[in-house]
Amino acid sequence: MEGLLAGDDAAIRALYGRFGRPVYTMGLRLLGSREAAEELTQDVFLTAWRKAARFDPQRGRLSTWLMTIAHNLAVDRLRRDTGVSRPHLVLVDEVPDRPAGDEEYALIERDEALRALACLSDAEKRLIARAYFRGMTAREIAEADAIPLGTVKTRLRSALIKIRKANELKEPS
Amino acid sequence: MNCPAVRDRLPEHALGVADHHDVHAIERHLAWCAACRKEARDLERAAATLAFAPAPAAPAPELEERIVAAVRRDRPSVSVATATTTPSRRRGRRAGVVLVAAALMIAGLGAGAVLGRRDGPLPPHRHRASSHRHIAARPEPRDDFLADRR
Repeated sequence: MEGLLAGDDAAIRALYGRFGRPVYTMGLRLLGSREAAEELTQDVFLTAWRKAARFDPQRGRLSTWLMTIAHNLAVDRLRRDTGVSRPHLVLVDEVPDRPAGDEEYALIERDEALRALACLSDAEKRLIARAYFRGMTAREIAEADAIPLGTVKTRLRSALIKIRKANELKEPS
Repeated sequence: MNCPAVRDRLPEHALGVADHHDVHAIERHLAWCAACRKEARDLERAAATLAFAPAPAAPAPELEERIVAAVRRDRPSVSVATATTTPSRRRGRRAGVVLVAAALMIAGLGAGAVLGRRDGPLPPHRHRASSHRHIAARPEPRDDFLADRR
């Protein structure tokens, strides 16, 4: 155990190198400030460290596991801080021209995400973005857009299935 | 909660916005229903794809050090906890750390990047410097990725 603990700095650094930027970006997107995004990022990696024993690669990818932790923590925080106003976000695209190492993976993942999103209609994209990036429930979306709750749920499911199918196409079975 | 009721809620569950009252019932159901569990995993995986869609932003360069320091601070409590837990729990944690390392390697990082590095000089930093109604009432952020396609 001592040997593993001695190596954990390296494991955390490797995790951070791989996922630090997407986790931080998610925090910035959902919470709206750099300070909150940094706090979230720290909490996510601390949680990942604490829950490492629960990760089972047979059940899913590391990226899914970590980004689900990140998203759940971000939505919890967003919903807790309901009075916080969100500043206008200006996310400058800082993607390097010549990616290497971890940044290359980030580019590939973003490309895959955008490819999957391209399968959605504009209405589906907006719907998904409101749920995922604004933490709005189906009921809140239905009320805001004055459309039936069942319709929102059906469209959310349909959009996720389209994304899943797009993911399957890029992954040889 | 039966299968149709769970299936009805799985998209919101995957998107992290299911009603808190429903979450426990959904997860209890998923613990024994393999078919719904598969559906849940598929949807969760699809939802996790979204995390990578926004244009990446760079955190402060010192954030990595803050995180490593936070984990270090957390270690004594973990060590105390593991010292008082059963060998099987310790094995579980060890297995988890190894599994994370293995997953990172599968994801494309070398073994040395995960387990071989020890405390020492940092590598050069990779990053360039650089109540429900309230939520609904907030201004829409610019969803650059919605229209953006590199």
